[in-house]
Amino acid sequence: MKRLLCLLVSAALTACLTACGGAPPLKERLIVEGIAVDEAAEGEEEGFALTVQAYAPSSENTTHNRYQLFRATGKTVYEALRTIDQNTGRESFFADTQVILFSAAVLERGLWPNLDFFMRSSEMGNNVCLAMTKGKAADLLTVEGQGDRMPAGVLADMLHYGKSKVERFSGEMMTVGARLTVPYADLTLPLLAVERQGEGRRAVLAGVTCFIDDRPAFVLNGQMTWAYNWIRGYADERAFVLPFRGELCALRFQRIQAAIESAVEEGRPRFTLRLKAGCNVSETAAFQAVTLENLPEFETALAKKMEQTVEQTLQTVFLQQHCDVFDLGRSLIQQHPAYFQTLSSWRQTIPLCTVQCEAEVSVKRAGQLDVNRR
Amino acid sequence: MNAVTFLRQFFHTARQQQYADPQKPPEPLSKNLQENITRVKEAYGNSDDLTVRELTVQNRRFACLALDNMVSKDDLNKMLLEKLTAAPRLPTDAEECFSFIERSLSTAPEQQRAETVDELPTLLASGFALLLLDGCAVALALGVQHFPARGVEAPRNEEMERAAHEAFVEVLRLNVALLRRRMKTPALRVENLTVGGRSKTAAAICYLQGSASPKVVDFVRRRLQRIEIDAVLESGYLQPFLESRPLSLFPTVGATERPDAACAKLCEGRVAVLVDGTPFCLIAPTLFCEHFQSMDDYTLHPAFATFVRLLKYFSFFMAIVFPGLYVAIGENNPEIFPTAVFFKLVDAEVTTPFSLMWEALMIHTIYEIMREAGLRLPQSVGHAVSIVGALVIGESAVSAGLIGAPMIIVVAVTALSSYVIPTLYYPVAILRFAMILVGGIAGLFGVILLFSLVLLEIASLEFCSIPIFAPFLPFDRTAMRDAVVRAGWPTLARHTARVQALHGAGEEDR
Amino acid sequence: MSRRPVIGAGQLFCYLLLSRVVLTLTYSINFNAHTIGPTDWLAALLLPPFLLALALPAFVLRRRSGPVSVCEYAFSLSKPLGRAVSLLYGAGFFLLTVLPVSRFSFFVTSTLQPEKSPLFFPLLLLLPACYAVCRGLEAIFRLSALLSVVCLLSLLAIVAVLLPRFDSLNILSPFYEPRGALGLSLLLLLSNSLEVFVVLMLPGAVRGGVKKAYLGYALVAPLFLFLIFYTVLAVLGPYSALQMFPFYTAAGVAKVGELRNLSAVAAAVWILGVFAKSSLSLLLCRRCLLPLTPKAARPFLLPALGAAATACAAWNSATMAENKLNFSMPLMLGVVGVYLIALPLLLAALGKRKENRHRETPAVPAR
Repeated sequence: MKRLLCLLVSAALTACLTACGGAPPLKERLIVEGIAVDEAAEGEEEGFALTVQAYAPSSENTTHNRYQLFRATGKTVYEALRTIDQNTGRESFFADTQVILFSAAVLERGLWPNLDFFMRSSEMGNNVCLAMTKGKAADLLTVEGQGDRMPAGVLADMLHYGKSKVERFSGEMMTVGARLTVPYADLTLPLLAVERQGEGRRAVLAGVTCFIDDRPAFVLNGQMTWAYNWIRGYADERAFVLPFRGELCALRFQRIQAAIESAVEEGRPRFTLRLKAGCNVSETAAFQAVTLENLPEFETALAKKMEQTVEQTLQTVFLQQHCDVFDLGRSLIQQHPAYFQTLSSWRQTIPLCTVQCEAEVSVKRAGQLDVNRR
Repeated sequence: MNAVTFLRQFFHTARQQQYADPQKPPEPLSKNLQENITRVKEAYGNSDDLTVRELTVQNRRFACLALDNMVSKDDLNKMLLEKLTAAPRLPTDAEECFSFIERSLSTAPEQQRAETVDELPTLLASGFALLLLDGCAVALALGVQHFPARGVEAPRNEEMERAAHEAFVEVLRLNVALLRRRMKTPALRVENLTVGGRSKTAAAICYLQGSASPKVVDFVRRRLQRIEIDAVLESGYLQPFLESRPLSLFPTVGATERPDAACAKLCEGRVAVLVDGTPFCLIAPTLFCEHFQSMDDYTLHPAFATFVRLLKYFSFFMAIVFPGLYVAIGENNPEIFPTAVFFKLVDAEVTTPFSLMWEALMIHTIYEIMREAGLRLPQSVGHAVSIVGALVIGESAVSAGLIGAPMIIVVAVTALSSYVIPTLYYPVAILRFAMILVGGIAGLFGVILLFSLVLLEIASLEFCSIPIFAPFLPFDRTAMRDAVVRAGWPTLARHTARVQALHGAGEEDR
Repeated sequence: MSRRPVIGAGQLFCYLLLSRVVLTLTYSINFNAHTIGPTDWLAALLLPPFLLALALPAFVLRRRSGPVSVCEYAFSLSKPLGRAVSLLYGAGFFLLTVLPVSRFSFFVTSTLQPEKSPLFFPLLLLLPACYAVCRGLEAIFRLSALLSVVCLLSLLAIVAVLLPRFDSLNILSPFYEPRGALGLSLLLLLSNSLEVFVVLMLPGAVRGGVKKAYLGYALVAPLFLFLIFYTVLAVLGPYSALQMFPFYTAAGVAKVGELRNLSAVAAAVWILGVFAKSSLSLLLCRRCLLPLTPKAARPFLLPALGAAATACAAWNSATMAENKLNFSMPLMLGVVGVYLIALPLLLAALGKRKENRHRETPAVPAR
């Protein structure tokens, strides 16, 4: 029996060595770092114009021209990618893809058809960053890299910089997919643009695009972005300017705690957003208006400003545009599932909602005033 | 027990193997001196190193036989010949004369009788001198051994920082003495036997009465007695006969050249087998975890000893799995690597003409050739091997684009790791090649499965129902204090470790 | 020297735990036609009494039969019955060998390496399993104990790394799911709880008691199942409904330092669990069918079973997407009902009847 087993093992090993197939080796593949999806240009076949930033390993490929851009069009994203594979003679390798960019024009057709191939791909990771671009998506792939880092990698770093920035803007494919499947939450994508800096070009974060269903609806402006960050519980690294007693005082948020409380009153949802913020007044400048004695007044003024900003943003985005990017629907379904089940459509219920904000601020460090502070 | 009885037991060769036809009865000695001499000479084919000194004392003929350079002539003279020739009056009866010489005349500390012709060559080859008496069908063998032998030196293969610098030698009696010196208890039993039909090599089974399992002792004894082999020139010849699965890559019987290590293992209920002519003592059973233990562990601080052991386990894992894992991930699952490493790997491999699997196989084969060459070459030429290795393989192969630089690093780390556990070097070397093959064909899953199979193989090994993978599997919490971690001596001293008392050994109620 | 194998109760507990946890870890809507929802983690917490109830028929049989396996007991009642029971349980263990292997093969060929042939992974798994069978029961259980520790620690590590990604808004109340959802979840979990099969075959070989091991399994395994379901829902939320292998996807977003994801760890845990399960099932299948095999053919039984299991697993993995009946819940519940409840109770009843007959029939005095 042992001999028979040995014979079987040898036969199996031989079979494995000869035929069982396998992917081509890495050096013969096209390592895709970034993908830009645009609308096909006029004159081209209707569909998608795909630009792929990839590394095609070869002995001639030195560091400074490590990556190449490949372009193709097709009726579907898959078709365009296959064309690139055929043109280059290499099979694409998506496991290292960092970022997928969509132009506004192509997203007007809806995000699902664009995303379908990428979500099905077994190689593509679920934490690939997605972003929308101002203008052509392909332009973003031509910004300057950083040393060995390709532009796609630089974009990914930018989106990941800070505390889960991508997650905040729900730009990861997993989060996008989750929000697309449920009718009670809308998604956001970071909006990227190209900025000229001297002779070079770099990518900048131009805002946050809010979607209704799977189409872009509008972009959050400066003040709305603050409110959005606070509601999601993220302390933005930028300096916030508060007019106080005739002076513009700069401060930086250290920590934001946000909680959404939902209640149902007479069949209408009511949301109360409770914010607790800790901040530092600028450590370098001493503001005349801010003293140790009027620090509580300062905190009250800041809290009020936050409440106003949040309520205005919710008024515009949630109540007027019926766009729920603030997870209010998700809170309602969690806290009042019985009530939620009676609703025929969440989006139609939004106009019935009321929102208010209650903020509490404490100044952790008051800069030059910190010497004798509490 | 008096000294004579003790010595008799020490040299008792009651369990001699008969290589010749077992049906043939032993040939008794003749009363005729000349006939006996002729028979011995015929047995040796008139070899020139057989010296026969005939003498006549008080009208009685004697013959003294010995092998050249095997006996101390001075001792023979002083202890027997001078006394014989100066004896005042010898009994006239041959038997009485023999008894007189045996009991009163000879002052050799070791002597024994031989009554058959077949015993004589063994005694001569063991360094005994034989006294034959005309008219007496018994020979007197005197222990006046003085053959060339190496003195006790420091161990060459098991060097330690703080432990003793003594190793076994080729002489069985000296090795037994080295054990006795360390284990002064009379419970140390030594059972002599002869192995090898032609070589008639002396061997000794050593164990501690009361510690060793009688089942294990009996098993070893029976296995050794049943061996049918021409010549036993090294303890390694006997090892497969004691193994429960000789073809398994992992041994259940180990070897050591250190007397202190052997004594430590005897205290834990193991059986040692010493073989004349080899400085390596067999230890049965040898658990898997013992390959990661050393005498230094017990002299160092427990924390450091534990650290060293963990390092050894990690090195074992690396030595087997690292090349295969690198090939598997590089060829089949490169997305596991971080981006920076990923690109370095691609850059390194883009110029090489071979796949990672073939690269790994080639470079490891070359490394094994170099290692073997380094072992066999004379020291003066040995430097050339290192130069060839470093320059040719390390530098030129990479510059020529035949091998990627990361692969060289993999080989180097693997080689260093495998030398951390020298007793497992050979199984590790074979498994490493298997891992590379499996990693190249089946990827990460193949490597994982093969490693599981290795663990399964070790887990299935037993020696006399004692699981070799204990105390890991079956898990024994008490014994774990000296497996991966090395507990402090106060803790170790609290419980007496016995290998037959491990979980799963079947004798844990003792 | 050979002796009756002895497995510790701890080893049996480890194996049962590994077997059950790996099955849930590799949950797929393809296998179960059911997306993970809030009722699943609640059902996991409510599972222990049901697991204990599931094992009652086996323990009732054991009380009657003593420390012998179900096949040995059936043979002791009557030879034709023994043959029939051996054949049935042999087929059952064959199914238990093919099931995890084909699921794993389907996973790899659909998610990781689509270019590989469906025959490759069954071969890769079942060859070592055959070798493991040659090594024996004790070796398999010893290895399983080690593998279970490794796998469960890996699972806990993945969950720990995913903790920062837990979104509390993904956890919805299970009490507002459609009526019957909780019952369905419980049935699903029970249909996959086939560890009693092993208990039926090993009563005499476990040192320390089968009951202790099974009790430990019934209390601890549901906690791990809860952890898996909760983690998937907390991390992926509604995205889990789009994923064929939700836990694998969740592990794919777990980032540790420079390691981009832990999906390889999840896949490694899966294959280790499958190896342990298929080895033991193949061994027990062989054990059941050995008395039915002619003596001359016995040396070929293992290679034949291995080859048949490989072929079946390859076929099953290749047709899994189309074959709706493939290991579906009704089929598995049927298996549970017949093998784990009906047959043991039937054998226990037959045994009791035989015992009563012996008592009633007066002893014939010897001449």
